[in-house]
Amino acid sequence: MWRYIVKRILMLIPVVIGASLLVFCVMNLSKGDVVSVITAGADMTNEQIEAVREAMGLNRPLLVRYGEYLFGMLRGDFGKSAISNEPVLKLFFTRFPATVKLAIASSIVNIVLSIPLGIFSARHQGSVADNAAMVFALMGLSMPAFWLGLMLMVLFCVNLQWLPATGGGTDFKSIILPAVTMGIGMMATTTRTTRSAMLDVLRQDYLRTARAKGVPEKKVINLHALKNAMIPILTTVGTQLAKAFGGGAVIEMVFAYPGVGKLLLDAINNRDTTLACGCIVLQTTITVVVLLIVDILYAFVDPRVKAQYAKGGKKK
Amino acid sequence: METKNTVLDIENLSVEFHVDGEIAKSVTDVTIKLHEGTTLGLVGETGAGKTTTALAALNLIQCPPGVIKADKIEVCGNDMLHAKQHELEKIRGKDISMIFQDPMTSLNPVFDVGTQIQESILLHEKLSREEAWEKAMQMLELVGIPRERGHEYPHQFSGGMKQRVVIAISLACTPKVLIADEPTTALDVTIQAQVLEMMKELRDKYGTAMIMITHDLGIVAESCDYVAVMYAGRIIEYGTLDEIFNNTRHPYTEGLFNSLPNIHNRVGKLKPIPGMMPDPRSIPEGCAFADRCPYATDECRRTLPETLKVNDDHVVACLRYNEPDFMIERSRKNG
Repeated sequence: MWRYIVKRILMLIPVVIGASLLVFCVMNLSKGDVVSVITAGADMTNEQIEAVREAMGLNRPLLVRYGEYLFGMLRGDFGKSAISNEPVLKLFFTRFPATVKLAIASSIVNIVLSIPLGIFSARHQGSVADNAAMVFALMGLSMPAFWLGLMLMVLFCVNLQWLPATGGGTDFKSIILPAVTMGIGMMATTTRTTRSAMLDVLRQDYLRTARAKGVPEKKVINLHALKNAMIPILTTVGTQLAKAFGGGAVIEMVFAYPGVGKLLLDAINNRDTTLACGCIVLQTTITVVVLLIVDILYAFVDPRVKAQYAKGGKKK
Repeated sequence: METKNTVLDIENLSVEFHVDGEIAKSVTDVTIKLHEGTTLGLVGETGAGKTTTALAALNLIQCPPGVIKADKIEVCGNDMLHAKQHELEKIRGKDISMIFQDPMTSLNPVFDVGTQIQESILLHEKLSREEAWEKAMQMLELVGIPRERGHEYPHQFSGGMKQRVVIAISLACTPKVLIADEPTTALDVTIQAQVLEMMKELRDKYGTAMIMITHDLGIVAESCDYVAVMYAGRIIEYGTLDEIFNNTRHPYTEGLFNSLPNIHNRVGKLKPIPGMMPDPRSIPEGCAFADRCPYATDECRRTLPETLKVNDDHVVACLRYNEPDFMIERSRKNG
């Protein structure tokens, strides 16, 4: 098992290098650079602007700059933002707790809505209720997050005045709307996964064995069946959680939520390559770690997976 | 025989499955009475309705698509037909339990085997978790698995061991009625004998009444008191073991015996029954076996045979016995 974990963490290295290189290239290709953003509107001659560029080292070839960045990163130095001159790590981790909060809250919304709905659909396969549930779930996917966010805002903040419109506050209420918006977006996939995984399990002989033992129907479904359907559900919820840790830029914009998604978006708009790259690398790392945790959780859900991990460890 | 308690009483059971506008008649007019401590062999080829009959006894048939009709289904005096869900849950596993055909898929892969036995005990007996676990471990030992393996999962067991676990689960609360649905079909021959022997021991120990569903007449001869032969959803011959084996009446039962390999005649070819069982969606109006029966007349194809009494211990559903001199070949030889 430990070998497996170490192997997965080592696989992070090429992923991080690839991701950072990609961001570097794309940022380089895009129109304008950080200097043109800083100096925009300032009364400066082209020579002066060029001098600033020279001083910031932006005139050197891309690969040289990337090499320098990579070397710094390996020592744990993610550089400083070109705009605010603050260390990237500090900027990222001041914002990160808010993102974690939102990611977890929206995943809870996701789980609470999708799993019961998916189970219900599977048990009433082909019925009107099943179809209605599937349409409802699909609607969650089809509605753009910014639109849904705005509609919820109109309803709960403007008309009913129950909840605050911005997500920046520290109280519980301020996170409800962003979390619900994000959770509904996640719901479609999770519900469908739950439904199909449960459909598969509901046909299994061991449920008949459980019923023949006299296990109450509720327990047959929620314990015997659900635990067997857990792996695909866990994968979906985990992937969505990992994605949410990267920050939902759109939702953060709509609710003025101070998370890392907005940080990244601002960095890109300002052509702040160091900050953008740092954000991407950190988000990638966090995503990979969350997915790894999900993989480890498999072993707790299904003893057969545990046996596989153990066997894989012994072989090598 | 009449002094013993009736533990399973099924009267005129019919089970249909309504799928895509078609009706498949899986079981028709089956009546089974089972007394304490006796074993009934339910014999017939695949698709004859044996398993469906058994599932109906537990009221475990999915409705829809299934439709159960019966005058009576009683387990130890409990009406299974009209019982509410929570009442059924109390009867299943306690008064009646079932060993399923395929041990490979009958156990839940994500719980250890001890927990799966313990669950049944916790549901039906007022014991603490520790006591129930202890009893589960005793059950495991009873079926010949060391208690140390109680924390292991189904995938760590072989097929024969899994079947023992399934048996341990179904016997955990010492049910009055045990239905064993081809308990040895999925096992290899060496294990078959062990499992059968074990089931017989347990039956003698607890006085459990058993229905042994099988298509292996050898198993029937070895372990049953009564035999019911099923064909296309009906019981076509029913009697004591001795009567069915030595005084065979129905042509289909004869066919079953003829298709057994004969140890005294190794050169002879097997004599399978020609043809196939009718599709449950289109069972003929006359005798369902007529098309495959060497004795069939035109009358057989038109009229549904009534159940005729051969003697107190034997009934048969075959029209030809209305003719006074009719005798199938096997009984002629035996007689």
